Amino acid sequence: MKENTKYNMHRFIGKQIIDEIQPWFEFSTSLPWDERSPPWVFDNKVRRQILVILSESPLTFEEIIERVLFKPAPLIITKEEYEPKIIYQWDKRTIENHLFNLEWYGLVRKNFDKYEINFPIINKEQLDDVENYVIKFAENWVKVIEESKEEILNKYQGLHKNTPIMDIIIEKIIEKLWETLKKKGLVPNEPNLKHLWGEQLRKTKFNEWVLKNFK
Amino acid sequence: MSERSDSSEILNSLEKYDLDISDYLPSHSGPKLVLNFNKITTVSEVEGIILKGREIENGIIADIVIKEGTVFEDPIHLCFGVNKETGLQEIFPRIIAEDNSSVTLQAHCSFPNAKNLTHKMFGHIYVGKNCKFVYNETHYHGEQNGATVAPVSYVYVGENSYFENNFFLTQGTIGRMKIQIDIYAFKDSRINSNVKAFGKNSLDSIHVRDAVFLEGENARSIIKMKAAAIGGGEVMMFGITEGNAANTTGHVDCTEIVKDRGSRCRAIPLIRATDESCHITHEASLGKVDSAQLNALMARGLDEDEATDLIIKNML
Repeated sequence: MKENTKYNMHRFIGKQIIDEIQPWFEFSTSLPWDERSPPWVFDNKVRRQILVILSESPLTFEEIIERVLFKPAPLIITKEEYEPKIIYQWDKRTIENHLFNLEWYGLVRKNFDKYEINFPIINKEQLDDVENYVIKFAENWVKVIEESKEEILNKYQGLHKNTPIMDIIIEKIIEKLWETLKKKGLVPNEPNLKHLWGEQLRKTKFNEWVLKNFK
Repeated sequence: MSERSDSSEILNSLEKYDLDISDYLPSHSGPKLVLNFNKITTVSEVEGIILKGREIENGIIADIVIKEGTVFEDPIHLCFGVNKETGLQEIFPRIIAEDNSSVTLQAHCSFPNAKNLTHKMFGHIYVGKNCKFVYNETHYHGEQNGATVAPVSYVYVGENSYFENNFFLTQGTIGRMKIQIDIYAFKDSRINSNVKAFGKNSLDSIHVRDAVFLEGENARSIIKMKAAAIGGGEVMMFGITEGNAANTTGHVDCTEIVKDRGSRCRAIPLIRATDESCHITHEASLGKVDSAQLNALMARGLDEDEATDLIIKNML
């Protein structure tokens, strides 16, 4: 059971946001060593499925139980040829455990009797729209890189020929960009956003693949 | 080279791991699906089992349905062979075993001439209630370290069913390989997952993620991962067991032997429990061969290398 103390709300919404690298951080990722990326909470497909269905609308516990059941269908055998009868249903206690976990990580919150996701989500249409800005920003980067590439290559020609100096600079620019944007308060500081975009994209990509191959 | 002789070469390569290739020949009466690169060369069904395949741009999509109550003694054979040196093969299998069925699936991925060959698989296995389902997958990637192999499988095991997974890559070279198998175990189900891999030189790299999610009451699982890395080879075993339901029990066991300088073995047993009544355990041992075993063999006249090879061979 979730503990009922004054710290509960802090655990519920709290997230570690630390900019300075500290000794207990993993050197390869600059993240705390006990947090894998993506966090282990996303490892389980049931928890991912709960987030996906809650991203459509807030649901009560009973509604979640109803929605997580699934019936597998073949890929190319049609219903007319044969329809398998298997149905998988998770039991209440297991779903409760998954919801506790999602709550603890601040991904889901309970609002009266309904669970809702605790982060913003972006849909396919909005993502397509965002693409225009992505192109605009990228084109500006390309201009700057085109203007400075020769100067950079001349300046660092003493480096080993296999040193990907432009890759290193671009990677460092991204780091610097985030740092500067954060300082100026121009980006929301929401660490899980990236993973959840990933999930939506994955679903979209899979749906595209299904449409391409099966319709 | 004709399609027939192409297929013969792939089938003959199966003999490298002591298999009777007559099971794969069109004259054999058992259920089977045989591929030659991205062409389906044989599909044969039997009563109670539906097999259907479709060729796509770089591979195939396959459906296998085992109808309710079907009990089949002989294995269903799947042969995903490529005798080309280069190319891309993408396989999308979906296997549905309905309630009260009992089958063994024998899958072989044979790439005897691989030099720059990529094989990808994205598969789903759905096992119903009260079933027994054994999935054996054996790989042979030739002797030139030229294969890149990335199979991903999601498995759902229904109430009171038994699922056994045996993945072996111990013959020939590996090349580069990343395997993921995620198994979701429902109420009263039992999972037994075994992985064996052998990296033989510095161009061999194998990463395995074998995960069991115990999602139903009383579900039980054991993951056994055994590997050896010699001659500069690399093996990484990532065994995960997560107990999310009441009274679930799971164990992860990793044993890896490392021999020769430059060889690397890693094991990450990751166990988690989100229910107070779970019991999840792990054990892992890595490093040189057991000295007691080594001494016993050397006392019988073998030198250290011969004794080590024998111990590795016996383990795998």
